[in-house]
Amino acid sequence: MTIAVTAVNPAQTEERVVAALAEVLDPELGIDVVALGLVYELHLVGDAITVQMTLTTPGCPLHDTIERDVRGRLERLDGVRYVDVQIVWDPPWHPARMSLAARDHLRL
Amino acid sequence: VIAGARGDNAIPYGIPMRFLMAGSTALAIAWTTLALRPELLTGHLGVPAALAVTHLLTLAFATLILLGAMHQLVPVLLVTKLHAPRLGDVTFALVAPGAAAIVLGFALGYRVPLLAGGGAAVLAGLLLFDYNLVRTFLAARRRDAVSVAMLCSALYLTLTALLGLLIALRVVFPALVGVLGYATPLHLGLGLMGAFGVAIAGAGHRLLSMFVLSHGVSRARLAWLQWAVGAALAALALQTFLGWPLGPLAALLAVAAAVLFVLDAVAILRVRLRRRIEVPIATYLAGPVFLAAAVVATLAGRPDVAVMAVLLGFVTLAIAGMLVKITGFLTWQHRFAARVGSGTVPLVKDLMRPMLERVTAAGLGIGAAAACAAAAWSSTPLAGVAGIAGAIGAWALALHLAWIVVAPHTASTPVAAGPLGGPP
Repeated sequence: MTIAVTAVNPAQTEERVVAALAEVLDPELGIDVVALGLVYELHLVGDAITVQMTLTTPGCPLHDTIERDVRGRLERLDGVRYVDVQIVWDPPWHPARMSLAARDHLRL
Repeated sequence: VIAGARGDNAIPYGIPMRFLMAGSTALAIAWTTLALRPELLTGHLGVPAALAVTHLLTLAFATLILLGAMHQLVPVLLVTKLHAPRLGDVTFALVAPGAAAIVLGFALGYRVPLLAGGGAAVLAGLLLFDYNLVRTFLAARRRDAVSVAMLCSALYLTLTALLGLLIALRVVFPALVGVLGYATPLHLGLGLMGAFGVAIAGAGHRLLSMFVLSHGVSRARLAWLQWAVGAALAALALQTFLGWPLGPLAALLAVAAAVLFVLDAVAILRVRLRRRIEVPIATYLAGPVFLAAAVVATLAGRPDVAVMAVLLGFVTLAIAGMLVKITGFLTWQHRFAARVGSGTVPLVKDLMRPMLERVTAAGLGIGAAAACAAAAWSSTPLAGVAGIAGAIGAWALALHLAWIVVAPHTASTPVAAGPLGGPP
């Protein structure tokens, strides 16, 4: 679940952005994208945020929904004007990226 | 996988849904007929009434579900747009009434005009679908064993319809008897093994992996399965049309394909992250159990029981299981995806009714098992149990799908956001 963060604007703290991303749920699993380990990189520069993330599987049925939700929640943050959500497949997502709690949740 | 990989690849919700709803209704009607006339399970499968129910299950149920699912699934697998989504409406307008005409043609006692007219309509609809699919396939940059399985399945389905039409026309054109020989086993093989078996194996590989979160499972078994099915059907065709004495080769290759199917499912389940198996997935996984029963019945010289195990057990359970998941996803995407982020939105599983899932699984499972046993031992009481159980399961499935589509769903499941963060 490690997220690489580069922040140029201290007003946009990593915690604030990650907290917003943690509200984005995978509606099939009921787990947020941060706990799932889907977020790879965050670039916080001025009033712009670039999110590099993946999905659990290429051709994920929730591609658009999750991308739109990420964009919407970040755009609602104070001081944010530009959000770029990049869905990447390299490296592919692996269950090892999930938080322990998320893994336990799925093993129920 | 189920809905669009991206919005611009998604097709209108109504196109797949009308196939899925019509198909599930056909299953309920078929099992209700068997509940009212259980003797059809113990008698000869070639009598018109039994053929009517068989085609209700194969054409009106399995074929419509397969077509509906493929309209949605194939462009997503190929990461491209469906060539002409609206052709799906025309396909439905041809295949659904065509299937009804064929069922009616058998139910009324082998009425050739209905069989021929219905067969021609179904064939035209399938050819249209093939055109749509092939154009989509050619436009795609990315193809894999799963998308190839979908394409092969569609082509096998068309050949099944073509052969079925020719078989029906033998009554009017006796010359066809000499050309076709005894083509019923090939017709059955193309439909059950080629069209439905390959589609279930392909879609199942992808959907099962996605729903239980399995990653990195080789697709080699799926590719070999397709070769085995192709070789089995080729052997059957050579036996049928050229009289080649190939003995049990086709049956052995079919058994090999069944074994590969089971091995593929086991490989996916072994590396799954979601330990708990949901009821619809368990329903899907109950299907291969009936493949084993079909193998045993074949070895025991009871092809009629084997056909019943494959159709009522493997095909019906595998489709019923995935149908609930597919309908849930499509409906969630249609009704709630746009509202994500702007309020409380139910999860996909909030659309499902666990009780109906369990009744569906138990009813269809008991129904199929009892039907096979009734046919094997010519047991009227078992046939009665099969009919009632199967009808309960099939109507529970139809009711469940209707619930998913029309009910005013609300978020009832506590979400797992935030607290699940932490170290990996």
